[in-house]
This record gives sequence, C-alpha cells and structure tokens, in this order.
Amino acid sequence: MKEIWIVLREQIKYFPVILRLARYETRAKYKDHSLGILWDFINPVMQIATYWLVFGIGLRQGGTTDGVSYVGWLVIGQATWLFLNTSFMDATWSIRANVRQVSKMNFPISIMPTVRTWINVIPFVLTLAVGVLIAVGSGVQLTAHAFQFVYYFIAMLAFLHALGIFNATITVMFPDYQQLIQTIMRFVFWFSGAVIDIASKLGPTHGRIGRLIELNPFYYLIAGVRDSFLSTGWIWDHPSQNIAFWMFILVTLLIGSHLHLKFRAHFADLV
Amino acid sequence: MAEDNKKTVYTPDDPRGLNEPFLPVAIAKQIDLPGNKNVSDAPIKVTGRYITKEYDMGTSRNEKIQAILNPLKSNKEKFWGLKGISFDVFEGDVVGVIGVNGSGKSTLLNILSGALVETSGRLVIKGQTSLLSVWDGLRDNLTGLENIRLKSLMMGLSNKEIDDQINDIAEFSELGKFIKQPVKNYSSGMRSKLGFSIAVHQDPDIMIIDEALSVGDQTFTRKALNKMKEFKAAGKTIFFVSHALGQIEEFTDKTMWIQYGELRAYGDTATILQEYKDWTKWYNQLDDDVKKSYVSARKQAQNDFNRTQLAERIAEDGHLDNNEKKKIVRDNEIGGRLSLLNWLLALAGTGIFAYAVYMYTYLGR
Repeated sequence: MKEIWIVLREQIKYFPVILRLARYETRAKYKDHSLGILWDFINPVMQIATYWLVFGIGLRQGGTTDGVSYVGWLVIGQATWLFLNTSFMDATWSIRANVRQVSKMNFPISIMPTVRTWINVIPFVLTLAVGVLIAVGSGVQLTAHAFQFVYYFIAMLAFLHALGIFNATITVMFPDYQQLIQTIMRFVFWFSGAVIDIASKLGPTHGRIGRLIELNPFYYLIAGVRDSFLSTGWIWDHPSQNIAFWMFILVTLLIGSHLHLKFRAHFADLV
Repeated sequence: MAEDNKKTVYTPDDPRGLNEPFLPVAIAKQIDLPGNKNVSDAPIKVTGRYITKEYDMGTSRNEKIQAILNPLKSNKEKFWGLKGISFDVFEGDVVGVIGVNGSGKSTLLNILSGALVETSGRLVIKGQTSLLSVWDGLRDNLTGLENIRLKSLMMGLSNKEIDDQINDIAEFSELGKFIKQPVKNYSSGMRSKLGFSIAVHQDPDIMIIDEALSVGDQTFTRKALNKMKEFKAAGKTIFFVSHALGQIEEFTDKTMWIQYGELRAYGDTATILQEYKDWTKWYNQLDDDVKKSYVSARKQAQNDFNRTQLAERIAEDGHLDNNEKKKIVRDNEIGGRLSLLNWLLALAGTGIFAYAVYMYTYLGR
C-alpha cells in the first residue's frame, strides 16, 4: 500500500514536469515534418477510414450498432483504443529507453510512463471530438450520460498508470516482455470492441464467452466511453464488471509499484 | 603451458615490481589521508565510507538479475570496480580525480551522480549533484537550442526560467549560427561546448565534471576554467576528472588518485601529482611483459576480491565503532520483500477479482 502511495505521490509532485516533457516530446517528434502535429490526426483518421471501409461497407456491418450509426460508434471506440494502445505500448519501453539519461536528472524515473500517456491525450481528445460530432450528426442526443466520461477518463489514467509502471519495470529486466506484449495486443485489439462488437456477434448461445471477453479492461474502457457519448448505459448497470476492473488495477499497481521501487536503483546496471 | 602462465603472474614480492613507488594505503587507513582533513572548517558535503561497486561479469540477463537479487549466492565471475573507497569532501573543495584508464574513476563519478548505486558502503551527499559529461543527454536530431531546452526541462526548470537563461547559455557556448543546427552535425568540440554551457547554467551545489574539457579548444577551455573558478569562488564543491594534469594542477586544491579500484592517495594536488608522475615514470620504464603481468595481476585482484576481504579490512578501521562497521560491511538493500499486509491485499484483490469475474460471466450481473 505504501509503495503505491510513494509512486503516486511522485506523479503528483512532478506533474508540471510531466506536462512540460510531454509537450516538448510532441514538438520534437514531428520536428522534421512540414505537417507537424497534423500527423497525429491524419494517421488515426486514415486507420479509422480503413476499418469503416472493411467493416462498415465491405462486411455490411453498416446500419446500426447499439442503435446508432456504425461510423460514430467506430470513431469513438477507435479513438479510445488508439489512445490506450499507443500509451500502453509507449509506456512499456519508456523506462528502458531513457534510463541512462534520466537517472542523472532531477526527477524520478517513474514519471516516464506517465509522460507517454500525456503525449497522447491531445490527439485522443481531438479524434474523440470528431467521433462525437459524427455521432451527433447522425442523430444521437448527448444526455447526462456524457458526464460519465469524467469517470472513464480517470479510469483510463489509472489503468495506464498501473500497467505502465508494471510493464515498464518488467521490460527493463526482460526485454522479451515488450515483444510478448506487442503480440498479445494485436490479439486483444479484436476483443476490445474497438471495431466490432465481438460479444454480441457471438450471440446468446455463447453468452458466457461473450461476457468473459467483455471483462478485459480495454473493452471496459472503450464500452464505457461509448456509453457516455451514445447514452447507451450507466456505470452502475454492471457492478461486477466495475469491481473486476478496479481489483485488476489494484493488484497490478501493488505489484508494479513494489517491483519498480525495489529495482529502480539498479535499472542502469541492467540496461 | 600452465607453468608458463603462472610465471607471468605478478606478485607483490616479484623482484621486477619491488620498486613500485607509493603503494596504495591500507584500506582502513584511507580516512587518515591528508585529503580528509578539514582545514578551513567548512561544512561537510560528501562522505563516502568503504564504497564498493561489484560488477557482474555474467553475460546473460538472468545471471545479472540473479546477482542483484541474491549477490551472495551467485557464483558467477565478479569484477570489483571499486574495492572500498573512503573520503570526505567539504564545501568549496575542488577535487581532482586522476588515475589510469579503467581504474574506477568513472564508476565513482557515476555513483556520486546517482546514475549507479554502490554495492556496499555508505555515501552521504548533502546537496544536489550534477554530472557533466559531454556525450550524455544530447539528442542528435534536435538542434542546439532545443537540446538546451530539453536538458533544462529534465533538470526540472520551468519554461519561464528556461526562457530567461536560454540566450545566456547559447551565447556562452560560442556556437553562433550552429546553435540552430541539429546536434548530429556538431564536432566533438562543439558538443562539449554545448554540454558544458548547459551544465554550468544549472547551478548545482556539487558539480561533477568528467573529462569534459579535454575536447574543447584552448580558448574555450580557458573560458570554461574561468567559469569554474567563479563556481569555486562561490563556494561550490566540484569533482574534476581529467587526464590533463596541467588542468588539474591549475584548478584543483585536492586530488584523489584512484587505481585498480583502490584509493591510492588523497591529499593536496601538488603532492599527489608528483607521486602520480613518479609512478607513471616508474611504470613506463618497465619492460613490456612486466607491465602486462603487473596490470593483469591487479585486474585479477579485482576479480578475486570478496566480501570477506572487505570485512577484514573494515575491521581494522580505527574510526568506526563496531556497530557502524557491521552496517557498512553489509550490502545495501535491494528494497524489501512485499510485506505480509501487501501480500494479503494482493490476495484479497485477486479473490474479489475472481469472484467478480464469476458473477459477471455466469450470472451476468
């Protein structure tokens, strides 16, 4: 418990540094590109367009999903997925790649995964806004459900923090872990509900398998963001899902923080 | 063949090396070296007691992790980069660090700057340290100006503070138009200038300079030395590593001579430099095969060093009481194990998680 608090307090204390580094990284990333930060926007749009072509038109998923047009549903889900996936993967190598530099600097290395998250926040908000606009354009009414987004955003930050610390620490010790995660994530993508609602595709005969899939944290967050903007559900509609999500975060955070604090003085020796 | 190998191993009583001047002091006597005397009654800044650094020569990652987790059990080959170094440094001291390549200078500086952790021993640093190393922390694809900003950000400065001093830094670096060029186009001298300019503007209490000045040209070196004299006048503590003995002589008050992981001498610069020069002269007049066997014997001693030897040496120390000795002999902790409470918490969390999964998948609630 103390470990969780120590790492968390570092995040809070160095939050201004996190934001400054995130802003700087963004600027540095597209330095040699004339379109600059626009690429953060163009890339996801093209990706979403591809899925729309394949699933919306090609496979005739078009029409409605959850009672709303597929495009809005897809863009909101995909925006959330891209935010989670990019931050998640970047956080995994963030400590390993920076350990030599950062260990001489005036902040704890535990903020590196968080920096990766905040780099992706602005592109996320932009793509999400586009998704909401499309949904509203196709006739969805924004209701009080939208306030749930605050809860889900906090849940996303908690998820990315817990998994970021855990994955980044493990990756320093076992670089193979990053490859493993990468492979798993390709798989998780199709079960995250970002482009197809696989649980409902399985139908009532495979209800249990469908619900098991719905328990993965990516699904939980993506479905939650959709619930918020498409007004399709409330947080308390599925208590067990909430509990499972937060218990997963708690245990990961506990072990991750513990390992991180235990080994961080030796990171430089390991890389 | 085995016979031949044996012959080339250098022993302390080998007649070929008997005349080696200034053998290193006994490890327990380091604290009596003249460098540790507090002449001007200044507050103490850095205290090191029996600092060791053990490197694991095992190549695989698993071996390394095992070595960290359980240093006593691991049977892999070891190399002791530092074999127990003790020293005191006071506010306003400018300490030169000399020694042949591979003697442990960089290890010591990395430990002082916090980039590496000592294996055992006690290190107390009062104040913020900043390591200035030319090759560190500059990103190739960013321009000089951008690197200044990034490094300052990493030092924890706010954007406003950076804006206030970025022009000073750029001007000090003398890079002119090149400051807007990516660092990958810089020569090593230019990099060194940039790195140095950034570091001196960070205003740390304790500055560690690692051979940064040896690549700059004469005029810049002069300017940098003058800047450091300002720091010295302002009462900052500086560690200065260089192979340029002239710079050490001009700039530092005290000098540490580190060799093969041991503190060989520590005292006022003039004396130590003379000893070092004498030693170098002695070494250089040796026959090549004697040199070779001398070095390999010293390296072998670093391989063979162990915790028992360290404990024996510490036991001879006359300055520490028995309690402290016991503490210092022990390895620094690798953080504790997960406490019982946390184990229970993790178990409870997993249990609730499993129950929630069951509830949702089977009952759909």
